[in-house]
Amino acid sequence: MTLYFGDIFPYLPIMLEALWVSIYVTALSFVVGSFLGLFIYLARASRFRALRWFGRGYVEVIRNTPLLVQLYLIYFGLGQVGINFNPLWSVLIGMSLNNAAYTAEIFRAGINAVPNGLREAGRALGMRYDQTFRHVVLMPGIRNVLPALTNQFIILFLFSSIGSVISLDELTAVLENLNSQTLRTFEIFTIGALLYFLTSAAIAYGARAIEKVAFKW
Amino acid sequence: MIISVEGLHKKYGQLEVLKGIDCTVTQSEVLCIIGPSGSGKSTFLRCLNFLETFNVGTVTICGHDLTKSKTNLNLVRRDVGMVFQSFNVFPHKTVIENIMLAPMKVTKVSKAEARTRGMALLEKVGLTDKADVYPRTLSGGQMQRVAIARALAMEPKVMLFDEPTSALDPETVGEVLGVMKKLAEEGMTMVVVTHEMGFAREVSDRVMFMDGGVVVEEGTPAELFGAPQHERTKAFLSKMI
Ligand SMILES: Nc1ncnc2c1ncn2[C@@H]1O[C@H](COP(=O)(O)OP(=O)(O)OP(=O)(O)O)[C@@H](O)[C@H]1O
Ligand SMILES: [Mg+2]
Repeated sequence: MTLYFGDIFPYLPIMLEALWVSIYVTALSFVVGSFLGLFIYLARASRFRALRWFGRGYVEVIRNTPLLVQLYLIYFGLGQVGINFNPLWSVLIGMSLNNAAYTAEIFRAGINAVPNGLREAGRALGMRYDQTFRHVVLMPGIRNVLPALTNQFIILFLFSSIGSVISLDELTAVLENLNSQTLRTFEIFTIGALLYFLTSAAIAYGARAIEKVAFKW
Repeated sequence: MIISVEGLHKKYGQLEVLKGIDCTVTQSEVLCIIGPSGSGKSTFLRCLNFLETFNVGTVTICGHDLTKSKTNLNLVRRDVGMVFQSFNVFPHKTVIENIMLAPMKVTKVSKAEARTRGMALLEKVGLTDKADVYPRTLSGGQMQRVAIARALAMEPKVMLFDEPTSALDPETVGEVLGVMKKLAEEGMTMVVVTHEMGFAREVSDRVMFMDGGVVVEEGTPAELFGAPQHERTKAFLSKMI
C-alpha cells in the first residue's frame, strides 16, 4: 500500500482553519477557567469553612469525572431540562469549568511553595495580610506556577479534540470528516497529529521565552 | 522600659516551649540571648512581635500591650524591626525596592522620599552600589545587610535579630556583625539571639542564657562569661568556646 500525502495538501487550508478553532477555544477557556480557578483557590484558602468546603468539593468533583462526561452533561443533559447551548458554547463552558479545577490546584501548590519566611518578613514589617499577599507572596507564587500553567494549557489544547463528539468544527472533527471523504486515514491523521504537536511545541517554546523576559529576578 | 515580659508561657500542642519567661529591656540596651538548640530562643523572640501567639503571660513592647485584643499588631510591628536567620529578602524586588516597599505601603511615604531614605540606609550598611540589582546576585552577608536596612526603613524603636549570621559563610559574618555593632553604638535597642559569643561579649549590655524554655541565668557579659553561676550555663559555654 502506498501513501499519498500529495492528495491531502489541498485540504491543508481547511485543517489550518480548524486548528485555529481549536486554538481559540482553548485560549478562551484557559483564560476564563484560570480566572475561575483563582477564585476557587481563594475559596480553598479562605477563613470561612463553607467556602473552603465549596472549593474543595468543586476541585474533587471535576478532577474525578471525565471531561467527556462533563461535556455530555452540559450539551445533552442541560438540553434535556431546557437549557440549550450550541456546541461551541458547550465546549467553552465545559473546558472552562474543567480547567478551573486544575488551575486552582496549580495556584494552591505554587502559592504554598513560596517560603513562609517571606510572608513573615512582610508581616514583621507591619504590612497587613492582604498587602503581604499582594506585594510579597504573589509574584514568587506566579513564577512558581508558570511551568505548570503552560503544561495545563497544552493538556487543555489536546483535550479540545473532544469537541468533535458534539460536532464542533475543531481540528479533530474536521480530520474525521476529511477521513470519510478521502479515505486517506493514515495521511490525514498523521498530518493532524503533526499540527497538534507543532502547536503544542510552539506554545511551550513561547511560554519559556515569556518567562525569560518577565522574570529577570 | 521598651520591652517588658512577664510569666510568658507558650505551648505547641502538648509541648511547652516557654515555661514562664520574665524579661525587661530598657532604652538603648542590647540584650543577647544564648542557649542550646531547641531551648526556645526563636520562639521567645517571635512572641515579642506576635509572629507567634502565646498562652499565658504579658508582653508590653514600645508601649503596646500584646495581650489586649484591641492592640493593632500592624502598628506594633512598625515599631519592632525583625531580622531573620534566612534573610527573607523579597526575590522579585531589587535591593532598593525591598527597602522602599514597607514605608510606601504601610506608612504611605512617597516613592521619592522612600528612595532617598532607602539610599541613606544602603549607605549605612555599605551597599549603595547594589541598589538596583536583584537579591539573586548577592552573597549571604549582603542579603542580610539588605534585610537589616529594610527593617530600619520603618524607623523601628527596637530591632530583633534571630541568629542573623548563622546561615552565613564565615567570611561574611563579620560584615553583618559590623553593621549590628554600629547600630548598637548609635543607641538602637536590640534583642539578639546569637551563637556569636564574641559579639555577645563585646557589644551586649546584658546576656541571657536560656535552656529548656526557661531563663537559666542572666547578667552582664562579664558576669555571665566570666563567672557563670549555673552548671548548665558552664556546660554550654565550655562547648561554645
Ligand atoms: N511551629 C512549631 N510547631 C511545633 N513545635 C515547634 C514549632 N516551632 C518550634 N517548635 C519546637 O519548640 C522548641 C523551641 O524551638 P525554638 O525554635 O524556639 O528553639 P531555638 O532555641 O530557637 O533553637 P535553635 O537554636 O535551633 O534555633 C523546639 O523543641 C522546637 O522543636
Ligand atoms: Mg532558633
